[in-house]
Amino acid sequence: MDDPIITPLGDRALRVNFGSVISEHIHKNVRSLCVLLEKYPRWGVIEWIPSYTSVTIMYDPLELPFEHGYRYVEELMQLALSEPLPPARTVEIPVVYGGTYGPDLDNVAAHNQISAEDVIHKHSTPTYMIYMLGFAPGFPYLGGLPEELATPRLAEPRTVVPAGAVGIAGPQTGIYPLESPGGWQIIGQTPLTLYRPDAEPPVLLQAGDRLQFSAVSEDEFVEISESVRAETYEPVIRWECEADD
Amino acid sequence: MTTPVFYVHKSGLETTLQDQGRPGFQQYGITESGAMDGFALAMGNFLAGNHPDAPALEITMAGPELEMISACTLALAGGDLGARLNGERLASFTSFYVQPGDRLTFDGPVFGVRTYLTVAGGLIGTKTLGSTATFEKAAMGGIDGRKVRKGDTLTRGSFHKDFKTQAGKRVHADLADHPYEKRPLRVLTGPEWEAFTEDGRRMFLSNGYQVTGQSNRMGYRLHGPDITHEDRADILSDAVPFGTIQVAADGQPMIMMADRQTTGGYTRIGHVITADHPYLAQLKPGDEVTFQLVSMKKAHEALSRQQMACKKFAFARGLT
Repeated sequence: MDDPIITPLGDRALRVNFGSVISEHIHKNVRSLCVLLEKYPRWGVIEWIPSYTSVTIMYDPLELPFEHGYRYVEELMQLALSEPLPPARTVEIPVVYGGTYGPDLDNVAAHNQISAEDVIHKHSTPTYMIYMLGFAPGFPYLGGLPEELATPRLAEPRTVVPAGAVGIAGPQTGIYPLESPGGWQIIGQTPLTLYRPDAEPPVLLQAGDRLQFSAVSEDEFVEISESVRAETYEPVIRWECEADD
Repeated sequence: MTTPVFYVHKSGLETTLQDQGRPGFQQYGITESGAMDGFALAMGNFLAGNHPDAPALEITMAGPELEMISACTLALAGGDLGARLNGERLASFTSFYVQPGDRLTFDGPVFGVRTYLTVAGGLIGTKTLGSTATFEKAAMGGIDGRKVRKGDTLTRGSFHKDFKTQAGKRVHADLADHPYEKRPLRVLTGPEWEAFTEDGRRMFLSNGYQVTGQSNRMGYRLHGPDITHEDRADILSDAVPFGTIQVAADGQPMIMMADRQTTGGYTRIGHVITADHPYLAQLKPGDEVTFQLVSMKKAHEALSRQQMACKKFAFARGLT
């Protein structure tokens, strides 16, 4: 693990910062620390929040003095040197593209001067990195959208975007976990539920996972929707060890 | 066992069920929520003979009109919103006994903007991820994920103590008033302190900033002299705990509160210390605040004093 900078973030949090740019290498440190925080819990630690370049650890200063929290993180860093990182998950996200499910597919195609089929192909080919969750319950901040799909947001945001909508906003792609207003270019919809309060954990995707979109037909969408509702759907997940770097 | 406690004739401006929130899920993008003034909720619960985390009504500015259905001990803690029981004024930070048919009404804010109506046994709502805290955007907690509205009947859980003995209690003024005494908000510097010009940092520490109307459970927008950035106002999205002060490109500060998103994308100039969160929670649009830097040691000492006082009070009420 790279040497981080550990600083207070207010009087109840400790921020462990690994760098200042979005990179898979920096994020590997973030994931590694989160894995160790889970594996070696410490009294007084309430929770932690991973982001692109840092992990913020919330603690109760009356249970765990700052200096002890600092030393705990240093100990975890030492452990990181000897403990292999568990395999990362790649979760497959079925998407029905275009039509009423993806009303802005043609916008994205036109903006980038490619065909709608090309948009679907280019969007469902890469493996995307989930750097962090935020903005809404279970919303993944993804890295890896091909540059030739980047499209500005809608000039006029929609008042209602359905849960599961898959969209593009500038250089970013994402999935709406909840029905909400929004200005992203909607190119498709997934039948999977990203936020599921009765499950453990309550979200489908986690920081450090990867995901891949796979194009499905409307019939398949309906079929998967039904098995998601019946709670019989098993997401397709691949496990991959990350190469040492 | 649940018992109906009161019927809601008028909902008030923003009346929600809140407990101390649902920490533990921020890594999943799930908002913490919970009482804006956690100190007042804890004290109100102690007055009613409850655990500090028991669900209660968070009442904002204009209170509701409630009709009691069963005999019970209730308490009010936090701001003084002009509460009356059958027309008789009730002070904040006191417990009282109600009978069926009694009416609880609110004249309007006398001090602060938020009060907590706690009920012996705790109010019952929908639990999401272990908490009853209302977060309407994701339909979590509350009453089926929503605010309290006209026509609702709220129920309470059971309790062990002889509840009659709990009425007529009050929190000593020294303890009740101390968190709300007018003073500068104490802050620790944020991770982007250096992202501001020397002039910007001086502005922040030497001027008053006014709470604007764009303030709610998510956060407060403040208005005052521009806090200028060296270079950029945006950062890669990162954690923003309760009390974080972000400054966007417009140079105006905003303070993140209970229903904030888990991460934010603007430079963090500072963090209001936890011991001053009750004071922060009672600010209303038009109030002016100033900021004063303190050390983390001082912040922890202040928090420790506040929590020891709470514990002593709970102990004196026989709740430990």
